[in-house]
Amino acid sequence: MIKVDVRKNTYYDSVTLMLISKEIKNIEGVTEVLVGMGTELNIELTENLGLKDSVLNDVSPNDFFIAAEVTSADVMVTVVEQVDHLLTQKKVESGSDYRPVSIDMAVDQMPGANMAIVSIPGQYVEEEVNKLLDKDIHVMLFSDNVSVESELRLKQKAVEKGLLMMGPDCGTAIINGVPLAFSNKVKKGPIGIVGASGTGTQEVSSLIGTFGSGVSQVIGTGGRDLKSEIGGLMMIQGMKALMADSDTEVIVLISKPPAPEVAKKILDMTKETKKPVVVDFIGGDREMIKAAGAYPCTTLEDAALKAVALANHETPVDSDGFTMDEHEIDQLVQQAVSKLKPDQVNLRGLYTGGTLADEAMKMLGNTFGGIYSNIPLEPEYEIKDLENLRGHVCLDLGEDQFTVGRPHPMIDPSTRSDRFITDIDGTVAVCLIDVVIGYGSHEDPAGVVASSIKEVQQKLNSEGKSVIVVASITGTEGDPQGLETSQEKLEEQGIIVLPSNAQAVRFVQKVMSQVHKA
Amino acid sequence: MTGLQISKDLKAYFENRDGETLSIHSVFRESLNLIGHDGELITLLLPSKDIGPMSAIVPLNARELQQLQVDDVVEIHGSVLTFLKVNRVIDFSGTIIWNPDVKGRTKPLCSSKLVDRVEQLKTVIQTEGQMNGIAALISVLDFEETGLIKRTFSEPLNEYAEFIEDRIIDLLDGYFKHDRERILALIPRFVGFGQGLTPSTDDYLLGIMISMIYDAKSRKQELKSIYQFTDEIAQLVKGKTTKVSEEMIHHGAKGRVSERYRALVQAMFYDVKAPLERLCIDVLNTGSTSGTDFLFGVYCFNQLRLKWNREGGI
Amino acid sequence: MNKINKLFTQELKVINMGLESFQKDLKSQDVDAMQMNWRPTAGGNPKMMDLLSRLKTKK
Repeated sequence: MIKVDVRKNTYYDSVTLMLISKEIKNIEGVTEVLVGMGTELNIELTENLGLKDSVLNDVSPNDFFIAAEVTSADVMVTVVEQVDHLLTQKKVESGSDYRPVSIDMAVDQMPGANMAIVSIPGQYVEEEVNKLLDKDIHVMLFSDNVSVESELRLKQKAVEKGLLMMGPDCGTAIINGVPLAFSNKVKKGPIGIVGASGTGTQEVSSLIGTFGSGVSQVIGTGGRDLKSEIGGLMMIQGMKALMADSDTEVIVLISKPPAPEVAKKILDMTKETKKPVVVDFIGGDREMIKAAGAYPCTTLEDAALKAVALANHETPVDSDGFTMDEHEIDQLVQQAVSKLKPDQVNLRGLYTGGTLADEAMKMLGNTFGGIYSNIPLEPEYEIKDLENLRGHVCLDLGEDQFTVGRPHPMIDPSTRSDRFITDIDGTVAVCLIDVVIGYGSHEDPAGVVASSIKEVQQKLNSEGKSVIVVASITGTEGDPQGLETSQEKLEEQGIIVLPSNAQAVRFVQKVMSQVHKA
Repeated sequence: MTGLQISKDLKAYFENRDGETLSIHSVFRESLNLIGHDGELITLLLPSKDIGPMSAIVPLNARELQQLQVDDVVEIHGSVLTFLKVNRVIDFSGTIIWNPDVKGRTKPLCSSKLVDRVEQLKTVIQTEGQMNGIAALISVLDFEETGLIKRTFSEPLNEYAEFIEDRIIDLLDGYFKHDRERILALIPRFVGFGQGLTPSTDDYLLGIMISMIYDAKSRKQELKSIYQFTDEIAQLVKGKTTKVSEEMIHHGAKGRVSERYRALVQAMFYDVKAPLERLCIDVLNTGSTSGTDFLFGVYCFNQLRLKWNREGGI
Repeated sequence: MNKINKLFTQELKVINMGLESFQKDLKSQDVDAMQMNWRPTAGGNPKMMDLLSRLKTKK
């Protein structure tokens, strides 16, 4: 029998219309269906397909209709229910959604499942991920506390089966334009990324969007992939996929410096593609990269700029300096430094993103007499006493010692807020921070930072002092928190916001030079 | 909040309607439409979308968008929009202005390069486009040297392509023969057909119309007569398709389309630096069926263009 | 076409095992994502788990 559902003056975007069409065709008892707007010709088509019902004589072009050949009236009721369900899904919180207990049941419920995000305790990971790979499902593994041996076995299996096994400790990936776990909403474009460093990948992908281009795919590998025990298995897997991907024209690789033999393997691979490859082995050997015909980088921002230049068929150049006019920057520095008292000499870097902290440490180097840290450049600068900070300090608050029994500071910014209060005292001249927005992050990282800094400044004001706070926001306008809104919140508290971590660090270098001039 | 980008025609619209109200016409996942008392449709887009005529890009996110509802009232005060119900304000006073008008480039495309580009366009449409609508015809339409278009033998295509095939061939034949009367007679039997909120044939027609305008522009022809013709087409479309599509064709008749659409069309008439394939993919990424059908229209017009003698044009 | 490049052409259908916020974020973007109510096999008892997995491979 023919059944028709009409919704007057109702508009669905094209993507939704296609989803509805696909969904209905899969319903048991539907032999033929046509879905569309009630224009004369679309109604004529329903006639041709034998789907016309007299109800359609009264529709207008701005009405939406579903015309279906169904085996019973009940089937049409299901059809209408499914469509309603599809359309209101985004407005209703999950609540009563079915939650399967095992992978077998999950796959039964979702037969076309092609990706799994796994964040279960480490000791159960190998067994569960094996099951997923057996079912040909790609995996993003956020869990840590997985042994190197397990990681190797899982990745070898994934490589054999031609699947993605991103992780362990992989928090960032953007697949088919969808940000997974801790990632940002970046426009689609021709640049593909394979990254072993979470916030590093977030920074590069976000900046690519800000600089006017976009990403095709962003594949994570987990932090240990380029160690000699794992041999870069997932980075190579990801690279091969991007090399074969027609939407990818430029490839970017991001990682901390790999083990030498792994670096060689990766760089040898870059020769197998005509697509330009930008390689950021953060702080690593640039000559080796150049020799392989790839493009080395000075910073994460530089990687993004070079990738965008290559995507626009321009020559990439080493970037340095600032987006804003250098003269204006110098003025800002002067203004800020003039408010400091003579005993304010120290730097406090308080980071939530490990790779960003690492980049800051490497850029600041051994200037200003060495920087104490929990991720020091040299062993003698390892922080001994985390409760009483002395001298210049830069902390990665995402490291294990800070996250025992507490959520990561990207999820729960109060970890860092607490440290603002304890770590920024009257000896501090400038505080350097990252603000990472996007999916997975707290709903308003900028707001939390702003109110903590307000508190800190008030405390210092009572001593007749104030501290310079310099920040960069890792994220995009498309993120739920909004780049611009976040920036406004920070600037309202007098925080100086630079467009990238690299520029924020350079700004701090200028400040410190001024402070240490005398 | 501050608007990120605004189309020149929309900016002028706001300036002329200080104190007036609009209401929300429709809300989608990454955009919404407002409608004025005069029936004019205005589109607000999230930052991931492509700007077009009578549109602006605003820094809302998907969640905030879903809080807005059809019929909600919006006030215009100078360059500021106020969403009364949710008390949200968007200020466009300092916002970057985007010009939707027809824009030529420096170097026109030579005919040998045009042949390559038409082939490339065909390949991208077939490999990357949505082939379950009218664009499936691309594989079976043969453009002979004489301009005769015929359908090569093949398995039946999808129901949309089969339905519209004869009318598309008819229409293209009309274009080839520069027969304006015939084209105008066919439009009412062609418009509003197919998948999408802007039905496929409308997107296809847009592709043809814009190509026609840029064809005249690139040959430095006088545009007044072309605009008279496209205006007649736009008039015929009224009431025969969705409101959103009517507006799209109305703007298209003046040579105005979204930025990515324009960039692609320019590449068929001018020697631009960006690779054609990427411009096509940018168009296809704007959202499901529309991009493919638009490209199909551009492709067909340019196939005809290759077959015209140099006086060509319509 | 290999499986990863095939994935790039498909609509994502995600199974989420663990942190619920990941699934909520996906749903808010209209991505098909299912939250599992994951439990370790054998209630998390390592000896039982080992026995069960040996049983499975014997089949």
